[in-house]
Amino acid sequence: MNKVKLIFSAIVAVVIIIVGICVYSWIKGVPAFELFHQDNKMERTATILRSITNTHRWVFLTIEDEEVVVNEHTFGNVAKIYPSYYELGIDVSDSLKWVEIQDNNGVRVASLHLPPIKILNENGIDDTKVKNIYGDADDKEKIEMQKKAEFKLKRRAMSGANIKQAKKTAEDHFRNLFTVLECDSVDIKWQSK
Amino acid sequence: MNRFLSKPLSLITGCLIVATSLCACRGNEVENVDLKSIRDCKELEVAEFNFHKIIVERSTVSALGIAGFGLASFPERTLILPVDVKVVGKIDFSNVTKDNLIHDGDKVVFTLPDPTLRIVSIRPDYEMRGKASREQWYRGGGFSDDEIQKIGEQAKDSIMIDRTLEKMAERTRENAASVLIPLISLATGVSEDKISVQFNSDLNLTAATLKDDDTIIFRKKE
Repeated sequence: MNKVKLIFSAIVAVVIIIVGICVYSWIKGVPAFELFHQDNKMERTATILRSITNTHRWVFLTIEDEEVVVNEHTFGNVAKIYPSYYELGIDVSDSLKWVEIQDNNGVRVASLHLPPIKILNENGIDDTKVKNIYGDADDKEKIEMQKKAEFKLKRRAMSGANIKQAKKTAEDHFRNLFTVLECDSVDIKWQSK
Repeated sequence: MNRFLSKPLSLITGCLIVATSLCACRGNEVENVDLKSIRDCKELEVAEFNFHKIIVERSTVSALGIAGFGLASFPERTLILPVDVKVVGKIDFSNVTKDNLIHDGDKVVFTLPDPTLRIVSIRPDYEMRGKASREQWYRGGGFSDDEIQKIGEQAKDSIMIDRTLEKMAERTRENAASVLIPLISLATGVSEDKISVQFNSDLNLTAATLKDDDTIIFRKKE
């Protein structure tokens, strides 16, 4: 009889402890029992403005695109989607060599020699927006895959049609701007290289 | 047709019709994804701001946890990831008309459109992460996609601070003026000291909205 009593009170004690743990963890908002617990903490760190560059670039076309890259392995492939954003335009730096104004008896003619259209932002792929579809790649492979994507995306961004479109917008823009700046006519030429 | 067969047959046919119509409906669902596109613009980029941030993540793994207390814990893994963030300050020229240029006596006043900013790239330095991080045998050194996205958010948040925004907007305006005054002088034939550039004064340079395409647009003063 005593044995039964002992077992019974032991069970009651265990139940009380378990209930106690559950209530305590419920109040604290932590899981009561778990085999493994992983805790990732990101520290708050300062952001430093390292440098400011003065630029003089005109953007005439922006292209949003994406590219899928699949790397084949013996054990499982890796697939990722790379979104990109490229800006097409001209970089005229700080000089004003590209503009010439001729004054022919009060008629002001602006002659522009614009540098060729190019991609203005070399890093068009935002690393934080790359989507992993399946598989796992190490850092070296990630860089290699990104290069593949970048090559294709840049080639597509610099297509003939896009360059033509950017040139058209550029011409419209400079005609308007120099008319606003009181030039009577605007003559636009593109440098071949 | 056999009496016993006709009922199940019509039932099966009915089910098939319902199933195919359901499939057809699924196929017609509109994909809720942003439209990726090509867009014309007339923007002048005058400043490039290069930010640097070092992300530190500490992760611990404990085993046999009861009510938040681990009975055994593994050594801490520390990841260090330097991130470069590039922001561009620009001015949109698509709505510039003759009204933007005013003659005031022998002086010329040009009104510039509002500056905008755009976060153009967030580049984590994976090579440095490999060198600087302390990895542990139980877990490799990589960040998951979710973590990388979180790092991106953190980097963006750290730029959307009042003082930083104001500094960038002011620098964009200054640079725009220094780029445009010689150009206006050359085009109009008026000497540079008689040209001034003015800005929209009711723009609040400490409050801005970050849009989905990473463009930062300043709000008007209330």
